[in-house]
Amino acid sequence: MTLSAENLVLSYSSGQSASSTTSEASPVVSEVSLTLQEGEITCLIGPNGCGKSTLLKALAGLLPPASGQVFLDNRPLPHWSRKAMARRMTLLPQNPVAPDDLSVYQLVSHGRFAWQGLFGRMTQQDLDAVEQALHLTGMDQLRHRSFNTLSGGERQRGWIALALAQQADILLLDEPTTYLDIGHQLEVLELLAQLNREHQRTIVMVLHDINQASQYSDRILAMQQGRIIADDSPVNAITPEMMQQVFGIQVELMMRQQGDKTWPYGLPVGRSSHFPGQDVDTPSSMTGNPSTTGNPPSKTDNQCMQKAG
Amino acid sequence: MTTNTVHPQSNPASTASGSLKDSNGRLKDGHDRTPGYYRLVKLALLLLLTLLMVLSLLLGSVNLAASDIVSVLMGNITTGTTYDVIWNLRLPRTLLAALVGVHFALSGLILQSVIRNPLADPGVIGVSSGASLAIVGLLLLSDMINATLLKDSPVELSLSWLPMAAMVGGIVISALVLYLSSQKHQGMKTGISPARLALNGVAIGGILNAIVMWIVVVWGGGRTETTILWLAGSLYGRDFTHLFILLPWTILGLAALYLIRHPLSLLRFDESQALSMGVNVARWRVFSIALAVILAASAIAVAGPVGFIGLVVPHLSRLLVGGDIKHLVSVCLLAGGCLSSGADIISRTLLSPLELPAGALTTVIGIPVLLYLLQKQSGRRP
Repeated sequence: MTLSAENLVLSYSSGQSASSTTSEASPVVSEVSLTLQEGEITCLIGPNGCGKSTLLKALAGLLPPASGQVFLDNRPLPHWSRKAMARRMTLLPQNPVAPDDLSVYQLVSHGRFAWQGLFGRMTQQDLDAVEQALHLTGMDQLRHRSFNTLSGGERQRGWIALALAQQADILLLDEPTTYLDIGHQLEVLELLAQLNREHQRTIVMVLHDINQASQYSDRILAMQQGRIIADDSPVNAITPEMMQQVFGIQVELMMRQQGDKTWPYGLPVGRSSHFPGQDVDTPSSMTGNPSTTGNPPSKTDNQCMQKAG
Repeated sequence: MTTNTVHPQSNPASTASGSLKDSNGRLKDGHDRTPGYYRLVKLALLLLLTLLMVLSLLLGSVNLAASDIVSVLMGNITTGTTYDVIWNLRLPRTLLAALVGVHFALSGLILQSVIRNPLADPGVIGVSSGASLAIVGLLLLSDMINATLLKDSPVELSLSWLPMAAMVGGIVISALVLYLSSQKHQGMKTGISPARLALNGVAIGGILNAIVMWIVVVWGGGRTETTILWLAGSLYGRDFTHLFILLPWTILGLAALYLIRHPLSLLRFDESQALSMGVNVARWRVFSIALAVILAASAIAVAGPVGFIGLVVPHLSRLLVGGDIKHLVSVCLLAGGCLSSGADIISRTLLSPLELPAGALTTVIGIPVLLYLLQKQSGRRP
């Protein structure tokens, strides 16, 4: 009972596919089927131009597919009204731009549109939702600040607050960490993980940093040239072969463990001499050797190393 | 992305957060904008508007005693020069000047929000030139038909047709300018670049104004003089007939604007984000632009294209109350009324007894603002 796609084919002219004869020629995303699990964090990874943002847009109902369909709660997206869809899911685009001269509070209040009637004033329920969104994102103190004067990290938290005020269960985020320094990147990812854990938000995001994707997601969708070529938990999806095939790089993988969660951590060691897609040596089985090449953070209980190529 | 925030003197508490001041000593945040501040701004503008309207009744080429004017308005004097001047000239003109400003200012606010472009204005996007062409065309066509086909029983063209003609002209030309200015990237509309919009608008406007002038000069006949004055944006010789032609559109426009204020506010975001927030972007965009054209074209039909009010007033209002649409609408309404009333008063007192077109004055104010905004835009991504 959540978001799924069936044989999705996407191309940028698909909106006018009737008039355009060449739209079939080079779809950005071809024949993708997937079902997102409720309450999970799913990360889309892949090289530039592989179609991950396009897929995210189509899942959010922002790009009509050339063929195939997206289903939300088993109903095709075209059967949903925009408002009803917005109460169920929302997308935060990569570089959102706020109107000039809005305060944080005013910006976040816009998230209530989907719940308001045409004549609507803010009801108590609306006010509560905005308060909760500000509180969860730690924006309480900044509520009266002019949004466009905030720092990058604060702005991103503000955008997430806007999405939260909308009270949609499914959050789709297109590279939510772009342009942030590493500290603010982790701040945003921790916030999303917390929303997932404590507030049962289903999260789908495009991330460029494979290790962050590995650490924060329950499921990895690796894309290459418009197709999903790996769809599994981080441990199973992130392998030297996958990294070789998708990004054309050699990585040394270390396993990081925290509590009962284990995830791979990849250290890029160079561009592959092989072209992506070519055969690579089967990696040797995991050894117990502690890593000598890098100093993973101290929380690591157990480190393993794998070498590819 | 610079944000201008006015720091009113009314709230000393905000200065406690000293670290938030920028180099100009103004507060970077909005701590200072309390509900009381918004009320204060609106009250001040309302007082200013009232003052300007009173001045507008007092000033003119004929000197009238203030006490007589009060008596006329109270209904105690019903004949004589004072009565005629006030009732047939100054009162309708005063009211009309304020209404016209309201129309242009709100039209500009809507256009800037929908097109997401600080340079949008009924003049810039071609509503004014399209409406002018349609009106001039209709007037001269009716003259010609009367002179040839209906020689014996000429039919006077009802003035209430003019707003409709203006709307048709305005919609056609603004659609053309917007179409020329929209950019496509990978098949997706990526918005309208401010510079392109301004260039296309000025170019199309230039062509149309040349055509209008040509038509007027060649076929204008007896109408040439009044038409040229009207084309410059003037309230000369307007009476209650004109006021009652405009008023229904004012009421319609204000009611519609109140109803669409929420979607209008969301149209200021990225298209994909507005859709994600539940706005049917295509529907509300068309609706909002149509409303902006209705407001501007109806005002043009009675007063000619009074330029740049729609550009200047929304920016001024944002400086005063920030970007919240609810406050912007009421502040634009009041400030628009003030600007056009002020321009009208100056236009007929500056060189009295000669009269300048009010549009010439607003253009003198508007062009520098346009240039400043273009300058500010050039460093910013489209």
